Amino acid sequence: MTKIKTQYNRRSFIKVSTAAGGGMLIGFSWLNACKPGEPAPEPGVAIPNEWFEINGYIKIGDTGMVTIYSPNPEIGQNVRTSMPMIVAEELDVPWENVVVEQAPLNTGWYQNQFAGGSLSIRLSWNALRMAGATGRRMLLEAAAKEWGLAASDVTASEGVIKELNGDRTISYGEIASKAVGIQIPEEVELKGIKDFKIIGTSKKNVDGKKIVTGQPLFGLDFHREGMHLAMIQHPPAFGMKVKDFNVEEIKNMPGVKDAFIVDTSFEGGGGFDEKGFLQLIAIVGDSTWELMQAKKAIKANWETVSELENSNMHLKRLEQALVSGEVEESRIDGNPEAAFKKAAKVIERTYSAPFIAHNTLEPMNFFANVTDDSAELIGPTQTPEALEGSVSKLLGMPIENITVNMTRIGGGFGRRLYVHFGVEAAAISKKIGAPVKLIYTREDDMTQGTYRPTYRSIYKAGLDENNNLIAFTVKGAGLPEGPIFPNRFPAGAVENYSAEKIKAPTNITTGAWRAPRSNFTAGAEQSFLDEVAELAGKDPIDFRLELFDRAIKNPVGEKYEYEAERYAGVLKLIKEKANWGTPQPGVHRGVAAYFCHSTYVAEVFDMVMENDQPKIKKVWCAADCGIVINRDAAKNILEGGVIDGIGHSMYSQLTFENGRPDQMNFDNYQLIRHSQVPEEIEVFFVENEIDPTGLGEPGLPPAMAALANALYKATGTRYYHQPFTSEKQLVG
Amino acid sequence: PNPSDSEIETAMNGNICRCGTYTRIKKAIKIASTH
Repeated sequence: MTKIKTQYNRRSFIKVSTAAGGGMLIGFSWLNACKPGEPAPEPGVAIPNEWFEINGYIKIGDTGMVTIYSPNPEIGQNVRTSMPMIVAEELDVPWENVVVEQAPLNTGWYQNQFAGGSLSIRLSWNALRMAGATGRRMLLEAAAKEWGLAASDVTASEGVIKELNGDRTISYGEIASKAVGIQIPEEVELKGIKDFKIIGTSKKNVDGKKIVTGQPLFGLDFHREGMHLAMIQHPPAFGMKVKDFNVEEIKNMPGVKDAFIVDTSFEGGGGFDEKGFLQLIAIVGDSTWELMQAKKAIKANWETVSELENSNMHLKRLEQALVSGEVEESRIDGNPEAAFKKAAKVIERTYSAPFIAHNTLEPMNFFANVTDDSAELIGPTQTPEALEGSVSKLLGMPIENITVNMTRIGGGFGRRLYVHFGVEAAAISKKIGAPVKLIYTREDDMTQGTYRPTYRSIYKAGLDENNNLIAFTVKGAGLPEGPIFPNRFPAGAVENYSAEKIKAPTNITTGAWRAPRSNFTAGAEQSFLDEVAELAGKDPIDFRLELFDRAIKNPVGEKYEYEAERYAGVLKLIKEKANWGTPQPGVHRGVAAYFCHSTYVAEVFDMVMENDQPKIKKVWCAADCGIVINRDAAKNILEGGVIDGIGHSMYSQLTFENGRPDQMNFDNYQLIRHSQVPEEIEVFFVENEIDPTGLGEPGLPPAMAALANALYKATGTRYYHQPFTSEKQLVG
Repeated sequence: PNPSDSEIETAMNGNICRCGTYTRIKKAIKIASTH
C-alpha cells in the first residue's frame, strides 16, 4: 500500500457545483442530443433514482451504480475502459456496477485530455488512482461518522463498508449522499499492486454492445435538431490556393443553402494547426447527397503559389539531403571513419519509405455551433484543448465561452491531433450563423495532407576480424523532418558511432503518424542489424544481447535513451516463448525489437511458403509496458499495431504528380486485407511493477523489420524500400 | 455453415478493418457459425 499526496489537481476532487475554466459542463451522455431515449446500460445494479457527485471522476447512485467519467478521447485504444478500470480499482467497487460517461474537456478538473504519444495511461495513472482512492476515503469517512467511529475503524471493499470491530455494514449507494462534500485528507492510501482485483484482468469494451448494435457513437453519427451539413473542397494540389469558383451556379443547385470561400487562418497558430490548405470552398445544405452533387459541379480557379512537387523530386531531394542536407540533430562517439578504414568487413545499406496517409476509417468531421458569444464544439478530436485554443483565436472569443465534447472516434493514428477540421466547422458555423456538421469524403481526407513524411536512411557498419561490431553510422533524411533518434540503440553499445537526423523541404503537409519516425527507423535499423548479424555469423538475438551487455557493463558515451536491461528483457522473453533456438522445417523466422514511447517490444515472425508465396503463419510479440491495465485489450492493441506495421510496409504509398497525390481512395491506395494478415498473433507481457507505459504505438515499429527479416529467410530477398510490394514482384 | 479460413477471407476481403483486428474478426465469424 502506498500513500500519495492529494495536492495533485485537488479541484477535481471537490464537490461538483459549477465547472471551472471550461465553461458549461455537459455531464450527461450527449447521446441524448442525437437520439431520443438513452440506451439502457446493463450494469449489475438497478438504475438509481438519485445520483451523488463524489468528485470530478465519480458519481454514485443510491442503488450502488457508479458512473465513472473517462477523461481522454477514445480512438479505439480502449482508454474509455482502461482509465475507468483504474478509478474503479482504487474506489473499490465491483466492475459490474460501473457505467462510463465521456468527460467533456475541462482543464479545471482533468489534465492531459489528449490521445497521443501513447500517453493517456502513463500521464494519468496517478491522477486516476487518486480519484478512486479519495472517493473511497470520502465514503469511509461518511460511514464512520454515521456510526460514531474513526475512519480507521472501518474498511471498504467491493462497494461495501464494514466496521472492523462489529457487524455493521453499509453499501456505497446507501452512504453516498452523506459522502458528498466531505473534506479530502492531505494523504490517501493507494492499493498495493498485489491487491488489484480489476487492474490486470480483462474487461470487455464498455461500448462493445453499443458498437455491434449500431448505436450512434461516432462524430459522423452526431445529430442535433436544426443543424446543417457542410462539405468542403480544398485545392487539388499542394502549392495551390483557391482564387474563385462558380459560386452562383453552386448556390442555385438543389438543397444548397450557401456556398462561399472560408478562410481559416489566424494569428499565433501552433503545432496542431493547418499549414497547407487554409482557404477552402465550403458548401452548406441539409443532405450529404445534395452536397456531394454540388461538390462535383464546382468549377474553381486555383492559383499556383509554390512549387508543384512530384515523387521524382522527392527522391532527388532526399538523396541530395543525405549528401549535403541540414543536420537537425546528431551524435558522435569515437571515430567511425577511422574504424571503417581498419574494419575487416564493412556493410552499407539504404532504406526508404513513402508518404502515407492516416486513413482513419471515419473521415474527418466536426460539429460546431457558433453564436456571437459562444462556441459549442462536438466531435472526434485527439486534442480537445488545442482545438479549443485554436477556435478561440480564430473567433477572437474567450476560452471560457467555448466548450468541447468528445464523441467516440473511428481511428486516430495521429491524424486527429490536428485541429483544422474543427476550426473549419467553427468558421463555417460563424459564417452562416447556425449549427453545422462538417463532413469530409474519403477523397477530401486522403488528399488533404498531414501525411507521414517520406524518408531515406543510409546505414553502415564495420566488423573487426573477430566479428565484433566496431563501427555503426546512420544518416537519415526526411521531407520535411529526418527520422533519426541519435541517442537510441545502438548508441551506447558501439565504440565508434554516429547518427544524423537530416531535413529537407517540401510543401506537402505532414503530421504525426502512429509512432512518428520510429515507424520507419525501426524497420530500417532492425533489418540492417539482421544483415550485420548475418555478416558476423551470429544469431540475430544473441548479437543484439551482446550489444545490450556492452551498454550495461561498459557504455559508450555520455548517455543513451533506453534501458538496456528492459530492452534485452523483451528479446529474452520472445526467445523463450517462441522457442527461437528450435527451428522447424519450412518455418522461416525473423526477429526485431524496438523501444519507443517508453515501451519495449520484441517480435518474431514465422513465415511459410504456400504455393510459392510467403505467408505469415504466426507472430510472437513480447512487450514490457510496466503494469498491464486491461490484459486482453492490451494484447488487442499490440496485435493491431503488428498488422498496421505489416500492412503499411507491404502495401501502402502515396505518389505525387504536379503536387497532386495519385491515390485518393482505396481502389488504388492499398490497405492490408483479410487474406493478407498473419494466421495467429500471440502476445506476452514482461510481468513487473513498473508504472504503466503506453501501447498504442509500440507494437507497430518492430513489425516492419521482423517482417522483412522473415521474408529474407523465406524468399532469399532482402527488402529495403517500402512498400515492399512495389520493390519486387511480391504477392503478400 | 462452417466456413474455412479461405472462404472467410474471400467473403470478407472487401471489408477493410483499419484497426487491424482481422484475426479476431475471423475467430468471431467461426464462433458465430457454430450457433
